[in-house]
Amino acid sequence: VSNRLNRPGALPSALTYLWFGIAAVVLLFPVLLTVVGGFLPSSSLLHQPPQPFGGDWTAESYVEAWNQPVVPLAPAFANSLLVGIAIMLGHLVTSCLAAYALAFLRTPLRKPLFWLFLATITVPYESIVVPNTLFIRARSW
Amino acid sequence: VTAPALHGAGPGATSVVGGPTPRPSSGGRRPRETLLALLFLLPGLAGLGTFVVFPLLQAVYLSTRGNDILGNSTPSVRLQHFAELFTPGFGALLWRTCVFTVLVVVPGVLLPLALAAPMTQRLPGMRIFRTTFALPFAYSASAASVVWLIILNPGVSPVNWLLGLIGVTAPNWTTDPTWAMITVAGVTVWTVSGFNLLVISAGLAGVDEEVLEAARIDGATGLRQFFSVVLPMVSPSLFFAVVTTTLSALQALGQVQIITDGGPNGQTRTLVYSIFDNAFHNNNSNFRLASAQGLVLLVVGVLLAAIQFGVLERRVHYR
Repeated sequence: VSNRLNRPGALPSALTYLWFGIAAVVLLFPVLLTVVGGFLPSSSLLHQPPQPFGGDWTAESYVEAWNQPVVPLAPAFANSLLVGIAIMLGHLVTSCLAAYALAFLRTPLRKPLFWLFLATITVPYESIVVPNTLFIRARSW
Repeated sequence: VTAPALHGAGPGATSVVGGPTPRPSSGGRRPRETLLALLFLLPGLAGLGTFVVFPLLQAVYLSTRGNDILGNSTPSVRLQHFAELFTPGFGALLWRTCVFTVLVVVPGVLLPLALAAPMTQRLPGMRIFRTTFALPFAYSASAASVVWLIILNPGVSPVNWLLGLIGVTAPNWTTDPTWAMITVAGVTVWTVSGFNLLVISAGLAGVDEEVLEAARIDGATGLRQFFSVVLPMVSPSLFFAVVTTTLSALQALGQVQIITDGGPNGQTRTLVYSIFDNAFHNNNSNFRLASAQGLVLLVVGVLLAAIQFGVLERRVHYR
């Protein structure tokens, strides 16, 4: 029964597809450019009007990006991975332990501690980035 | 928020495998359990203490110190940094931050709503639209900025080419004083729209068919049904989208740095950009002023959240 309820007529359907078509062009052109742009030679990437499907596709840009010495990509990816995994593991371990203590054990000051943990969400990272940076720099890591 | 459930699963209890043991009627604390709880809380508290609470106190301390050219502290300047903040320049900075936030939050929530609402119709292809429209969610601020910089580059811009076809001269998207802010906000809207589309879609999917049917029997159709029935029922999702989008707009830094770097002539300097600029950019090393600005950011964020919870949440309909 409910299937028939929300099935629009011809005009609303046409308007819906028209609106989504316009939205798709605006919202997804950057996505198309991201996917295709890397495989295009710069002459067709920088062509006006745009030729996302015109030129000869090549993987040259990727090879060049990998080989350029300015920002070596392999160490950059390794760093990102290391930071990501460290943060994930740190959160997982500390949060699970604290949550277990707050939820299942009879912890003294349970409510204030819970609110203390929760209240730290309101601190934007940019408010404490300076002291944190100075702290880490002082340890000269 | 209600208190977490309290079970008596003692660490020494042999029946732990079978689930929580019934809570003993006496409220007395067992020392072993208390010790274990403190042990479990310690890593989390140590992390928060070292990297959130202590830095916060240190930010308060730093904000009252002077700053020499190398970034070292000089003796107390009392509230001079804050006095520096109560100037027309900083007022303009705060105003720009607010304008930027509004320019991001309003379209950043309305656009996904305008996309998600028609998607509830039973038409072929809706799922494909939902998936592809959510793709910008996968972009980092820097990746999105770089792609949009190519699209809006005056030399090669397909947007300008398109505008030229209908006889409109495109503005200098990133260097015109009025347009630069709109451009940065627009790119931010594009990146947040994917996530908000998922949030609002999930909210719309949770709207009860029976309620819609009842409304239809009562004669509510089309727009009337959307504004009087559907909108109140997705208001929790909308509220969540507004709060999280406000926070990401307040903290936007990557887009500003990459697209305009605060320019032209400081027109896109926001509070967070200014913190970064004073502390780290060009080895400015004005850590104390940046700390004072960081505290202002904290106050602004808490105030905005308080306003949103005080004003908007009253209108949110939780089932």
